[in-house]
Amino acid sequence: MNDLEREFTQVVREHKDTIYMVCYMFSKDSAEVEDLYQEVLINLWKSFPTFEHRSSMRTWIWRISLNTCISIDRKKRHRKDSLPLKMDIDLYNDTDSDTRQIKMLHERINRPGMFDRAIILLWLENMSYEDIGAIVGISEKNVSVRLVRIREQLKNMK
Amino acid sequence: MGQMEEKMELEQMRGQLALLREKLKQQEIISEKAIVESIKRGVGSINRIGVVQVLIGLFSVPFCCYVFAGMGLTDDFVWGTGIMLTVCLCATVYAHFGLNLLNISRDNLIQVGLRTIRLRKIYKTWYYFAIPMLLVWGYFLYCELAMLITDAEQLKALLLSVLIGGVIGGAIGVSMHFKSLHDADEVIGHIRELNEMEK
Repeated sequence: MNDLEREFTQVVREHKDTIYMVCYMFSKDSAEVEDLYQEVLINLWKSFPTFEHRSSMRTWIWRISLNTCISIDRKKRHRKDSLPLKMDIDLYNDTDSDTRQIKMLHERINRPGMFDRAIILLWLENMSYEDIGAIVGISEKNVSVRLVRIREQLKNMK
Repeated sequence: MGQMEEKMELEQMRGQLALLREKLKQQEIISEKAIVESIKRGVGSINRIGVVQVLIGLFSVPFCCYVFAGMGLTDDFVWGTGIMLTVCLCATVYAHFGLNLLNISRDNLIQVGLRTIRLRKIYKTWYYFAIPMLLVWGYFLYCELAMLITDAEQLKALLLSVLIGGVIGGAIGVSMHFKSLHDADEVIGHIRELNEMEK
């Protein structure tokens, strides 16, 4: 394992929960979550050598994970690249009380469109509008407008 | 009222997200888990071979002494064989000591690694004792048989049988020995890999 691989593995270890959380929120079953997870890891790995630390590692992870999940073309997707890093968890089939709560959140977040889903996730992470905008590539103003609309939607979903 | 409800709902969602994050933090990445599993399998295999060797040793000591004494070989040879086999048995128990007592987990891998390195070292240095010991014992056996059997043809046939038995037994022993060394190398390699990942 060279230095870059070691560094990457360390980054994945540190941010595995964020990566998996994003994949989970954009998936409908455990197979899909695994697919997305692999795909995000591949994209992270591809971009890793060119990451210039202009933003924080956390922001970079969020951006790549969300962009991958939003833009992924499932028809074109194939698993020719495979990284042996994935998580040992099945939130779709676990039945404990915490998982039930998590499933409720999944259900709520999954109703809006892909882009709005990304914004809700970042908003729930207590990120500033500036950071949300930087990650999803829209202005702060746009973030606040969208959030008002999303909150309305969430309210009406009950 | 509406704002209050919205705030509560937001807090609930944040709580659910925190639960998710907490749950995910506790998860190991599968590749790490697979490596730990491989270490467990490797150590399990080493321990199984150790148990088989000890059982063979426990059976061999009285059996060989009984057979050699029954054949009319000298007491010196019978005692010599008994002592030699007992030394081999003790060395095997000593080499495996500790490794079989460990309940392998992610937390005690350094201990597992150290004990495996120790076992590997004993197995490697064992050649320096085992080969000369075996040669001396073989010569001793030849002399004993030569003294006991005067008929050259009969002696030749007996030596041939001893040789065939020795080769078969030796091959089994050597394969077990190399299997243990191979498993030990794998266990040490996996532990090194995990440590590198942690750096």
